[in-house]
Amino acid sequence: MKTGRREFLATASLAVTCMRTSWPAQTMLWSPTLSSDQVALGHALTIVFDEHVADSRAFAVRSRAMGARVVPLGSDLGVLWFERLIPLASSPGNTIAGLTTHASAFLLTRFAQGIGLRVAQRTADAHAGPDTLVMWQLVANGARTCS
Amino acid sequence: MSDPPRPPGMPEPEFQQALAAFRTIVGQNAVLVGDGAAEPYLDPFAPGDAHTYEASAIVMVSNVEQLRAVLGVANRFGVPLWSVSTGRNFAYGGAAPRLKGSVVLDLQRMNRIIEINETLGYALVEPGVSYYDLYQALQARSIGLWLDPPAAGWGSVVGNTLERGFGTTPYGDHAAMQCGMEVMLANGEIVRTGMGAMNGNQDWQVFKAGFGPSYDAMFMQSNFGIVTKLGIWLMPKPEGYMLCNYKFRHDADLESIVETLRPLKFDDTIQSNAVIESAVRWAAGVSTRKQWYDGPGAIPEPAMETMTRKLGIGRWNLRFCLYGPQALVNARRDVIHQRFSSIADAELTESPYTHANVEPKGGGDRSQVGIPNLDAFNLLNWRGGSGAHIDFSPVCAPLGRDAVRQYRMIRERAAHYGFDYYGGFTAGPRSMHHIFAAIFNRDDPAQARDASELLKTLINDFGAAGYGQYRTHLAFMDLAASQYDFNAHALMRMSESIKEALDPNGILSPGKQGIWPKKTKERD
Repeated sequence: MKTGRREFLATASLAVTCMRTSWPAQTMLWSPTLSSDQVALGHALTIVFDEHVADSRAFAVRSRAMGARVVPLGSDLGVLWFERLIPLASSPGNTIAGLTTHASAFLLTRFAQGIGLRVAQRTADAHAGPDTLVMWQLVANGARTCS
Repeated sequence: MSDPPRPPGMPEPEFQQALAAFRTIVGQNAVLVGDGAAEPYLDPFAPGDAHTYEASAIVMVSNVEQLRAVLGVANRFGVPLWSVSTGRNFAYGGAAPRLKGSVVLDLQRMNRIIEINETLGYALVEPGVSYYDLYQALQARSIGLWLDPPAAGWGSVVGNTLERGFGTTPYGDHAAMQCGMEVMLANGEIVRTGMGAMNGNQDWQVFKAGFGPSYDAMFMQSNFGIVTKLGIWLMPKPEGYMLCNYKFRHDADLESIVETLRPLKFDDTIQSNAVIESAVRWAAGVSTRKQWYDGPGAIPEPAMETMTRKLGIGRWNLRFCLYGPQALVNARRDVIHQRFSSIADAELTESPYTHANVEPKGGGDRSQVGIPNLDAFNLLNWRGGSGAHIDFSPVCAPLGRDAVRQYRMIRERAAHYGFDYYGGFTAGPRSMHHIFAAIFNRDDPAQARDASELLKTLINDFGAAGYGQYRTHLAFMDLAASQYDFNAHALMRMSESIKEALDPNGILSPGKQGIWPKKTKERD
């Protein structure tokens, strides 16, 4: 599915809301300041963003304001996956989503499929810039998706 | 969604019986079929309809006992299997089978690092162990050994080695660094190669040949058996390193670069595999095409000039790494620097000598000090959309005239089909891997079709010129194999004889590297 940039960013914002409602009513979105013990016990939405892409940063700011934890891609996507995202993806009640370039989306969604997660994603050509951005969500099998 | 394919010629009831037997062996959840289960095993970079190479089902085995039992069922029912280690052979087909309807035999659950021997510098691993896994194990145990990661660090050590992948440290020729295999033959028999053929011998991972014929290479890029364990040599961690990055301003510099590089690689002054990258290959790691040119056809010369100037890169860029004590590294650097300084307008730079415990930042640099990474995938962003690529990978002698000839052949054909020359040479002591990636947007059927046509044309062009590929995508395996035509394809006839002898039912990876079982050839 493809959309224009303005429509896409609005959709991306809505998608965060949708992700919230796709979880049980008792689900809470934690701030990034929670301790690892608290995170391990509760539910959380984690948004991965590309600190080098303005629209992705803007999306992260908006998501954080809505209570999501935000995580930058950093310098090594593999390290991010193995050290930060796998522990989150492996514990119940966590969902991971992101707005990244196609390459980063490809890598993270492939990693996710490798551990049995389903992937929902949509693409937007960001007409104001050279980058194609992809919004993606990693879904535990059996969970409802927004797409 | 259409029904998933079945193995060719197999009635549905028999296929269901085979699947039921597989479930009995590996468990219900380790057999994936229907409801899009095979979707993650489709080739995400297929230059056309990915379903052309769609699996009928997936079977995930966890150990050799399960594997043996699965092979027994496959033999009984005639189920073609396509074995993958982690299934990340992207640009060459990913996890998808050559023969539509094959069952993918996924070995990723066989993921034990059986041994790391720091004293003798090797590891013994199963197929599901990725370069990241091995790297993490080395780090966690503070072992003073480096692995050699390929460009995509998430792949399998076994899988990449069997595909004869390569990296950019002195241990960059992965097939050459392999020592000792355990292989399951199609009949379920386990064979160990080299010294592993001897009970109680401790030298399996230090001496390749053993006694009598040596068979390890026979199980690389082939379908004669399933490798279940593999020994790989690891590089002793050096005292320090120096990353070198030379920029050459002119397109015509390629011949001089190769001629200057060859003797330095030949006598091991440059220890690592050295990488000669075109401007587009470098640029695709740090920018997108639209920043420089958004029109049809290959990037024109003025845009190329702007791109190289603004990015501060050369038309050709040479990177390599020096290792060891500082005095030795500096001595090597001085010799190399002096030789390359004869090329006009070359910009020869290097990082400061760095202790081996200090990690560099960039992906290409990290690869040269044994750290797996995924930066190479940035090329997917180059053309925008759902970026994908298929690679054309001819072997090139380290001679300037051959490098220039191959470069021009590819550049001109690529431009004809509207592709940029995204390419480069990875130079070992006596050969170079020339890798060209046809990058396309999978959402654009015309681009995907053109990428496929370009690859076919290049394989034929290069075959006519006497050049062969070291590796290719599923779609071109038959064509690439057909270029190896000495004595009316005698090598392929020998491969088919071996195939018939070792796998008479033709269950192992039919069509891999153009090697088809007799029964498949007769049926088709």
